[in-house]
Amino acid sequence: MTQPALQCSALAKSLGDKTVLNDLAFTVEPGEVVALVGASGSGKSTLLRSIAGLISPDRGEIRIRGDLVWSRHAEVPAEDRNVGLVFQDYALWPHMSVRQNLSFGLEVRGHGREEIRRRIDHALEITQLGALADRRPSELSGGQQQRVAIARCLAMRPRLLLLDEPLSNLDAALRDDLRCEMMRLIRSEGMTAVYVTHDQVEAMAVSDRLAVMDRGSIVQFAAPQAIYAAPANAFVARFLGGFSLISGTAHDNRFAVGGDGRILNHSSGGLNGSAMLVVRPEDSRPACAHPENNLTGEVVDSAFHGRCWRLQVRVGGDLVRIDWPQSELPGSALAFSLPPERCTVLPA
Amino acid sequence: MITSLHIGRRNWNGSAPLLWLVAFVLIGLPLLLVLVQAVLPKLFDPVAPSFTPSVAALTRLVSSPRLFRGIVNTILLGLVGATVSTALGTALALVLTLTDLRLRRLWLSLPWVVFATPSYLKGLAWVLLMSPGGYLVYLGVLSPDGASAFFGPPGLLLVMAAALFPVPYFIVRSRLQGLGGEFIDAARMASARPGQTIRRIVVPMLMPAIGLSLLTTFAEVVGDFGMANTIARSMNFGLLTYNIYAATASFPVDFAAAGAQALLLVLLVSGSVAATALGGVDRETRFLSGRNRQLMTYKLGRWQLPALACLALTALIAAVLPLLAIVLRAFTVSLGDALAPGNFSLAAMRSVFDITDVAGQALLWSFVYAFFAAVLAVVFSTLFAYRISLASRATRLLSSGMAMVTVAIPGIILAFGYILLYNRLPGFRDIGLYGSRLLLVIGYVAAALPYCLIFLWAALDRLGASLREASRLSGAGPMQHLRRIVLPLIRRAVAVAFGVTMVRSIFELPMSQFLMPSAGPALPALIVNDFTQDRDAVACALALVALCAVGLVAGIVTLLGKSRHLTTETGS
Amino acid sequence: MNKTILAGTLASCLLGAAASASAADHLVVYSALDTVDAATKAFTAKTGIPVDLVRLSTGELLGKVAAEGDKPQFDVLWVEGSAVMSRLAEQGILKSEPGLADKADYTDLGRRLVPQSQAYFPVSVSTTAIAVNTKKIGEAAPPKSWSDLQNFAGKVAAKDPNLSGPAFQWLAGYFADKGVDAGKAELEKILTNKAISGIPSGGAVNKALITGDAGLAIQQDTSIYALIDQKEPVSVVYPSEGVVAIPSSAGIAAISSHEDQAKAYIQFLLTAEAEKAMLQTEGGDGFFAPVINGVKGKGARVDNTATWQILDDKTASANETDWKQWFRDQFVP
Repeated sequence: MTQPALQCSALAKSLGDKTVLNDLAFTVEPGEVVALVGASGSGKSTLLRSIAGLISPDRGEIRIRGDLVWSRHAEVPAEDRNVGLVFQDYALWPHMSVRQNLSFGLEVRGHGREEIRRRIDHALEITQLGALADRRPSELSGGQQQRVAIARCLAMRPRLLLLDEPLSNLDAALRDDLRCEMMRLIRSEGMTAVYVTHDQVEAMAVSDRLAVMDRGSIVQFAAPQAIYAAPANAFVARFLGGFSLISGTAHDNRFAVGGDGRILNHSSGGLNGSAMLVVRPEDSRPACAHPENNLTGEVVDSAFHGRCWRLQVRVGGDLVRIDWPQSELPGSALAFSLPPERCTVLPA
Repeated sequence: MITSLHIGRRNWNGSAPLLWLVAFVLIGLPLLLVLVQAVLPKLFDPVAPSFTPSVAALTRLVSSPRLFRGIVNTILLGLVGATVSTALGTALALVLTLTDLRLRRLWLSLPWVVFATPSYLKGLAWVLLMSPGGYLVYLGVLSPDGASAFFGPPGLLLVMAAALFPVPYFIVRSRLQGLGGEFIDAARMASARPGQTIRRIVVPMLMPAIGLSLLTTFAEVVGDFGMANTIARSMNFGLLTYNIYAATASFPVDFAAAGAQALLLVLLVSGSVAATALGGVDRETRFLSGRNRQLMTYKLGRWQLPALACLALTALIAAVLPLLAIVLRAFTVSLGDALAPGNFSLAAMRSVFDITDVAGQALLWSFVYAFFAAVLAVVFSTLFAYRISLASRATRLLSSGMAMVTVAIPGIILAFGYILLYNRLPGFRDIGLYGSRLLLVIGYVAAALPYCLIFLWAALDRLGASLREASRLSGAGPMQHLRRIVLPLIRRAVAVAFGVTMVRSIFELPMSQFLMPSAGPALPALIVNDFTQDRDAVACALALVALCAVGLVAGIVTLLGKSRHLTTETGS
Repeated sequence: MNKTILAGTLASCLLGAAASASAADHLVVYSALDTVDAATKAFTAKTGIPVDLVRLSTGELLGKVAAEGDKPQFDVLWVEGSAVMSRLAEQGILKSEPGLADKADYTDLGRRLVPQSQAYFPVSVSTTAIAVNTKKIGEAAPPKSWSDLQNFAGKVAAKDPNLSGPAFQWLAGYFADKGVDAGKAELEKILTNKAISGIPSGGAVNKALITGDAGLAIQQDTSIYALIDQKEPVSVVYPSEGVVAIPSSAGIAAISSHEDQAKAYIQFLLTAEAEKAMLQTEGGDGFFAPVINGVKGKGARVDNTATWQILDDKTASANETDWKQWFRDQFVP
């Protein structure tokens, strides 16, 4: 059995009286891309920098490819971990050209000139930066700088690639394109990567597995589809955005909406007590499609979303977002249904 | 060129005619009055003033056989002195900012102590220590031959490096504190060792600050006379400043010759500024954008002890030994008996406190003058430096060139200019400022202004353009941007400029002598007078009391600052 | 920040106001001599006239006076060196006061030092002599004349006349006595150590003499007596060729608005009472040679002023540039 590319066990860190990492355990398989999502302050950047070696945790162990790189008694400094880090604002050395930025890490490691040239040329080629090799970072656009930051890491052939919100500085149009390109590079080089972001759409798009962090702990760690289909709890559900939650009580396979007593069937298994129903916007169907799973509410807002209308409907005491084929007048009543197999109920 | 429809208030292009005028009256005009006499020698003639031009002074200058040698020697000394002291200041700034050296607070105060001790005291201290009959030989630490060997090039370089490193230290450290930590983190991730990171990442990014330091210390060395002449007399080494002092020492003062020599210094220093600018050392690298990370410190590990030893040695040579010499001299009677047990006495110290009417008053007033001078200097230089930072590259170059020139021209010339301006020039002389305390304070401001400007430029230089653009788009005017954004970011540099000005002014010599108020002398005039009257024990005692007073005030201020959380980091 | 600027401007205005208020209309005396403190105190105690003193070292004071030019701020100027005062008198900056010193009980030398113009009056006098570090010369016989110094070539320290007025006066007197060429030749044989041959200040000369490389020094005798008083191993030698007097003189500014008080001040300086008060001063200046009868110099000073010569200021100033240049070229590195 191959060793995991990264293994963190029982990591804990506190800053003052604030717990930043709360007994965290975390494993990444070789060749896997894992995304870390969470709100600011959830500890994801701290975790990333601990793996990089720029911060030391208080307790726990970090192993890269089986080698212990951090524990209470032994520590491998950041310089020796052979881990690549793409910084949020790229941290390209402003006084060096692109080529020099790429070659610095190789030179300090003592590679021969031929080897350095080969690696740089390869990195420049796959990031399509060949024409810009002699420019300074101040002469490059944001997207170009980001590519240089990635190329810099790739040239060093790290065992593990860490990315700290690499796309957050770019505008929306560029973000999509660069995300595809970046992941293509990472996959084609077969790199193992840990990708930190606060954008859950991005996280789901890039990752093989997704870890949702909240206040220093990993709340759910699974493939994006699994999390999307079955968020572990209300926090995960809310965080993935787009989802709406209706509060009520669950009894076996039935869910009673808190506000108006409607009963719905769901597929989440035997839950009893206070619960929340997860409503994904794309799950809504016309009322006649599932007459036994109907909900009614008052339309609050109606916004054009290109291929459909996004309606905000007040059901009972909660606000629900649903996609609807046509526009509805705010203030009017609306009835819609949810397929039972798509209904997920979480404990409150 | 499109003229803005808004009148006046939102002026982001760095033009500040009023500030330039004030700077001209403060420094430019007095200097001009002396320099212009190189070609208009009879301008201020007491018997028959006239505007008849004459190139006699200039021709004498150019045809003097010693001139060429003097220029070469001065440049050589300037280059070497600047390099050595900048290297020392930069190394100190790197160690104190980037490592976890022990006893940091102690080392942080070292540049201040060295800076506070005026050069005339340092010159005396080294003579007391290193003469064949001096303290170190007496104690058996050195042999008389070893001591004599000190009074030549190696000794001069040692003394200059030890005396001049604080200014480069302040400038480089200010720039370093604005360096984003992520550049160093990126280097660590690229497997670079601390040495490689510092050599290839940090130092190149500091080049503008290092360039500024080199220029400033070059100007200081070029304009120095006292130390070079005291320590390196045997060097067969004529200096340009000698002629200025010779011209001013005769009666009547040969203003034409002094002006001509000063013009030469102006050319020399302006040339070096221009050369640096063309060489591109001041290439624009601004990187404080508001998102930079804190600098993480390197652990020294087994280098801790050697580093501590090096710093202790530096402190010994730069501060401890000279101060010790002054203390010893203050408590001994005869110079010849050096440290013989019977030679110690409290007589000098007692006389300082006995003549409390004159010396005590002088000490008190010097603090008052220095305080007001520091307030005025910092306020003006903040406004001026800020305005200039918004201006074009040419303007910035010109103003930094002028600041350097003012550093290089010996203070005595500026002081003369003040007398000519406020006592002789029609219009100004009728204001009645001459002989007043206010004029002395203004004189201190003028003497300290170039240094304030240099420190503030170094700090402003690291603010990125995006900060300014964000303010503009929020509708803020340049003054609001200064008050709400820039000042908080350069707070530390402003505090440094204030402290530096105050300390310099307490010991500022030429202004204290030439603008002495009729109400009573300022401290430095008293101290130097005692030296020249062979009462150097009393002079040392006076200087010691003053240095202790400075230390006391600094200590109180630091404690107050800590208790009110004014500074996030002790020292600066 | 606006508050700070406001506070700063307000404070400076107050300072300015205080400054002009306190610049009351007192008698202003500029002096380079330490003895002025004691003399002024005694004067004010006796006459009740308040005096504002500006005391600086000679070089700086003369620079200030030169820069003030025809608008001097002093009422009384009292400095060392006759050449200076005669030039100021020629330029009309000092006022001629005939008869001011008629009542003063001058010694013979004092009387001879009063200039024809009577624009300034000698108050004390000193000269340049030879200081000998008795420890350093060891068994050798101390010099008795300037020429004897040739035996100590390389160990003699001297001040640079380019940077010191009294040093130039000594050089001029040297040439006046021995002739220019012979004098130059002799000096070239004596001052062979460039490290100590052109020292900028008297204080540095003393340091070289006591702890430095010099065994002898050509120094002002007041300074030498001060060293002796401080128990330094130094003795004074008046060379047999004779010495030139360096008087300190006081004069009144032509534009002074306090002429009567200024006259009273100078007349007071020329009394035995004042000279005795001045003798109390510590440091070199207190060891001056008095010019008033009945007053004896203090410490180890011997009374040999009768033999002192008076310098011809005209010849000295005519050759000043040349001689200073020569000294610099020969002896200053």
